[in-house]
Amino acid sequence: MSKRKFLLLISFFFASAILLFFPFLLTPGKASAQGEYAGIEQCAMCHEDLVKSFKDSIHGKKGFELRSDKACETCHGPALAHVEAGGDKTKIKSVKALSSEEKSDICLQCHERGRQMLWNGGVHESRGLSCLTCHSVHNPKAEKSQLISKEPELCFNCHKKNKAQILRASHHPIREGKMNCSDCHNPHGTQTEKLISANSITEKCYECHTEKRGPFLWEHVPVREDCSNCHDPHGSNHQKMLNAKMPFLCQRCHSDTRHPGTIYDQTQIVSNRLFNRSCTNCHSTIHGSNHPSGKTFLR
Amino acid sequence: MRKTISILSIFLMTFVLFTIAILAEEKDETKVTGKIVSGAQDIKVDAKSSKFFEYRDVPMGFTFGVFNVSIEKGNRYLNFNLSNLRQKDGRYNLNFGEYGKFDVNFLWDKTPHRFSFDGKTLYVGREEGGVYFYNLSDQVQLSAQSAQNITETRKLISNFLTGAHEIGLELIRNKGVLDIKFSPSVPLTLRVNAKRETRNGTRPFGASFGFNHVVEVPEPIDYKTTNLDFNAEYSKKWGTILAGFSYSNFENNLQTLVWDNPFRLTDNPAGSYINGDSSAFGRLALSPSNSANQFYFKGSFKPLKNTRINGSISFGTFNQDEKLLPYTINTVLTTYYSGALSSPRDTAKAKADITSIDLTLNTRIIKNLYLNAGFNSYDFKNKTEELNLPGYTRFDQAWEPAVSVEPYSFKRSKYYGDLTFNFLKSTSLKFGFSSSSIERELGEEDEGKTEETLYHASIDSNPTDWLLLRLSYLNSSREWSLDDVKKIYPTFNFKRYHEASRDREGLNLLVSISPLSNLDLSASYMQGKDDYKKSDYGLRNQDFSNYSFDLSYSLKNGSSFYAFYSNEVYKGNQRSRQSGATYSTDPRDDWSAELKDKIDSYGAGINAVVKKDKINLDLSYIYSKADGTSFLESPPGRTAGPDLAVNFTKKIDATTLQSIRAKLLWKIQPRVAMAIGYWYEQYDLEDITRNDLKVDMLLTGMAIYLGALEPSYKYHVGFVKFIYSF
Repeated sequence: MSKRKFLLLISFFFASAILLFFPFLLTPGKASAQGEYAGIEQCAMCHEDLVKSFKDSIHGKKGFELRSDKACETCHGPALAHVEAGGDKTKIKSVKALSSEEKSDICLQCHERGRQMLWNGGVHESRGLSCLTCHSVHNPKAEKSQLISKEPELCFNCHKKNKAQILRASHHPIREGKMNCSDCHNPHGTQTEKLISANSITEKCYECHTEKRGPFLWEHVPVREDCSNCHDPHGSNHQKMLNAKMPFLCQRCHSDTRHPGTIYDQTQIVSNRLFNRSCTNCHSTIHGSNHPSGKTFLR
Repeated sequence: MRKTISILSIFLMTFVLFTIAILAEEKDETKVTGKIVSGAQDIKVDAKSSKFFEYRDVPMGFTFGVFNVSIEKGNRYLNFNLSNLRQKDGRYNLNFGEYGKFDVNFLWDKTPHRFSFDGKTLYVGREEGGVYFYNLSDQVQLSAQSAQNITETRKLISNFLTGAHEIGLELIRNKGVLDIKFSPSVPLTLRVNAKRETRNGTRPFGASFGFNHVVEVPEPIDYKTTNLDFNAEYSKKWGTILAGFSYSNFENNLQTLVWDNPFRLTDNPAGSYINGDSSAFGRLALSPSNSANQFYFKGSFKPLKNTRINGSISFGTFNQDEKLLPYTINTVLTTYYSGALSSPRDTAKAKADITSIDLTLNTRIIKNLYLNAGFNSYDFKNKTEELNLPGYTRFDQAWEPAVSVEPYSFKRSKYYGDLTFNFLKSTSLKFGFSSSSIERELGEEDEGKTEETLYHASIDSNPTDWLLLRLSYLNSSREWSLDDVKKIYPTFNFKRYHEASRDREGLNLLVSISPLSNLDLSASYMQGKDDYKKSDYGLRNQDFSNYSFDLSYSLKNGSSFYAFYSNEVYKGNQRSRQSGATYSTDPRDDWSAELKDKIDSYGAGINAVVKKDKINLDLSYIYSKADGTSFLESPPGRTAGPDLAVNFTKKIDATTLQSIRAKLLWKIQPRVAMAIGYWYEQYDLEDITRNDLKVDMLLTGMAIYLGALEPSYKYHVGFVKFIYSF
């Protein structure tokens, strides 16, 4: 066994030991909310507009009732003490004052399933985001999913580079309103890198670009492994969302005898190896070929 | 058109039936809300281009932009949304259900993809039995074949190319999606998702005959994709389990492309594959029909309140078994191999098994200390039957030596662990480690293994309402097992970047402050660097940096203002060696290229409440300029070609996009509003390889293209819209 693997195993064993053999280190979960409930009609006495908008929202419907009969107090906790104290804010849970984890715990009572199944431990959760970073129960601004603003602008609050990238010449139709970030990513958490909502980047791309799935008789290795070896799906100023302009992109892997290793400079500006589609003027089946003579993706 | 009417009819019938079902409920009030937006639009074109219409329709005249209606009664609901009626980018969505019980969503979406309005070709296309033919007049081919030499041939064809006819280069995706969710009880959800998409049209495609005989044709696209997914999920306090099956089928109704060689009417025994004047035809295999299926199981368990064990496993296959074409369409090549006009076997027999496993443990070890650790594996096992070929043809022009089809397989594995420590108020510190590897096999041959260890750390702090700080850093080192063992090329140390040893660093900083309750400022900085430390040739290093600023300000009267600026720089350095017929051993044949993309984007907008609840004014401006440049270098004394690399005199590609939008909204009455507006959009393209694109470049570039320009554009659009809300 290599040293690295041994160290990994030891680390994993140590972590497991802490869990299994030192239970006194585990802080017991908080006791369920103490106190008595007041009922939604009591809430409406002072918070009429909020209760009305809540009832009008999806949370005011039967689906919520099937999971909880406590209405507002499902999230805000028992409110009788708050009501009896004449609206004393210290007598009720203030969602705003909670930590990210505590805020998310409220939502996860019902929403820890489906696309939200892997929230805990996910990238966004572990970076201190909560459900309320993107969603609003009382004041959503988007039509879907109770988001505080529409996609993709919501995502661009943090992902600035991608905000600029969708303006590129070669792009997915995000700014035309035909696609959204959530078509490829699951912001709630996935077990694939980059929060891709598929088993791999290539499998996600194949959902729309199924003609590239193959398998082909002749496979192009970096294509099969990862589409982002050559493409930047968020946008590029090069044709076909390529990471670099052809032929230079292809010459990063190919420098065979004769033309792949040739330098294409100003003297060859109209050469068919540089002009128009460059390498793919000839190597058109570049994603893979099913032709017996497709070894070099010419057929 | 007929399809659109059928789809709309189905929508309408379903809409009516379910509306009746909702309204039949005797108790509960019926709530109906909706919006209708229609109007008129005019366009003034200063410079025309397909690029403006790349993914959208911008019609002139009457527009029916939006029709929404929502009906709610008790726990039943129905939503119908229509946008861009009768346009090629139309979208129709019908959604109905009962809260807590079931939900049905049906979407019909159309997306165009326009490549060029300027395409021209001499070819005439026809389809026959799954084969698409592009034919030329025999006169063209006979004249070319009869010419004295290659130069005269090109001149003759050039004359014919003046008669090239226009061809539309666009494709349309029509996608229908049906999503049904049924929850017979709170814990149980059953889901069916069905998607059917057709894609039809043409796009530019290389169909060449040789190094000096490039031909571009419109690739015919006639695709159908069907996806089905069934899953069942059961969720209780102890966790959630989900099991499902998905199936995907891709059909390409056109498997083969056959096209005439402008240079030849009959196959030429004495032809040259350099000049592409050997065969009378070319034949190519288009994307093969294929299918995929997958069984998957996922579980998330909560053994303790703050502990989650998540796992998923899936088994899937990709299948492709289309008929194989013969080695070539060129009859002369049977003199080199008698079976050249036959196929090596009947069908492709291409298959891959894919297994994906993920396991994660997430737990709170002690108060404020969290552990997230796991493992994932993605195994792509290519089971395509190996094929030993006696040879193959190049461009259908020449016979090449024996070669074998070897299936490519790879397996990705990753072990990882993160510790997150929450300290101070709303501040967390995270340290993480991962060890990942990719093992590759080509047939029986081991293609090596790359192993990467990565360390990352981040700090996220939101100590007050007005301050947010996010900082992360990563450092990784990747090694390729065949670094000192396998030589890609025999005479120089060339490495391929997707597998080469590499050191990587990345930094990401985001700071947001809200000095006033109505003012938000944010700044971000990102930097990344890849150093391919053991690659003397190939991609040697690449890095990027990005900084951006954002501002948003809202006034008491409800008006708001925003502005942003972003700067990005991407650089890549690569090195190669130019060789003749054999691999050069001379470093004077080396060359290097430094590519750089620099992008500046900025914009601003204002939403002004001119008169509260009456008149609003929206103004916005966006600008984005991307400059791609290169710097080429080579030492003097090259053994082949010009002595020194000659740098391009212009930027290799540069694009600019600007858009100005203005809209005045006047609420005439509570339910009726009118909007009048204008937008201007300008796109400029400077591309040394595309700006001067012509159909006939035989004498300059030895190519016949489609001339598929996407030139710069300037469009002015004025509109008036009437909005009725109910």
